[in-house]
Amino acid sequence: MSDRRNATPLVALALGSCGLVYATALFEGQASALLAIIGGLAWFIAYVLLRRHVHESADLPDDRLDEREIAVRDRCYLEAYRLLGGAIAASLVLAVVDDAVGGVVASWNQAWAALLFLSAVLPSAVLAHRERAHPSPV
Amino acid sequence: MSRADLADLVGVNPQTVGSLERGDYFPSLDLALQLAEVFTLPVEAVFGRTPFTPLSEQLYRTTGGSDV
Repeated sequence: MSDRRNATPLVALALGSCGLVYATALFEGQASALLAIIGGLAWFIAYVLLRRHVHESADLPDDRLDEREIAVRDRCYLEAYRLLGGAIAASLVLAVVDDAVGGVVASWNQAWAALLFLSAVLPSAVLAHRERAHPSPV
Repeated sequence: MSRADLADLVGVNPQTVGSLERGDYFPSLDLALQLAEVFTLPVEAVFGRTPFTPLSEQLYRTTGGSDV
């Protein structure tokens, strides 16, 4: 149970990343419409999986959570904010460098799409990763 | 008393009680006082900044090792 719970965010991120690659490739004319649709669907499934995984912690109002749950959620959101900041900086550097060398790795469209994807899923992914399966109450 | 019972009494998730038991989470003063009230013990008997010694060791020290 614990392994399955902890694997969910990783599976969702992997699935979503694959979807993102296909979906953004369409902008570059490197993928067929069918692949782009499959990619978009993969991204959507990954997003829904993550949201379902963290629904209780992420969506309930503070008065329905206890102090530990609120603390864990807030710490995860802070970590996600910092990770996203790092990802934005890294993506911009990559895009600028890539443009300078002739655009062989990524394009601005792909960079922006990746950042949009990350900004949507990163808080949920960090929260899901942090949540550990605890033994059932005895 | 089960974790779920204790969690109900102080109004937290049973997972939070598990985190407290494992030392993964340090409670607020309010929650610590509530837990101490449940056990009718002073808060320093339930929580401490250093690990508690085993009861047998405390007893041995009190009695000086005789008749234990």
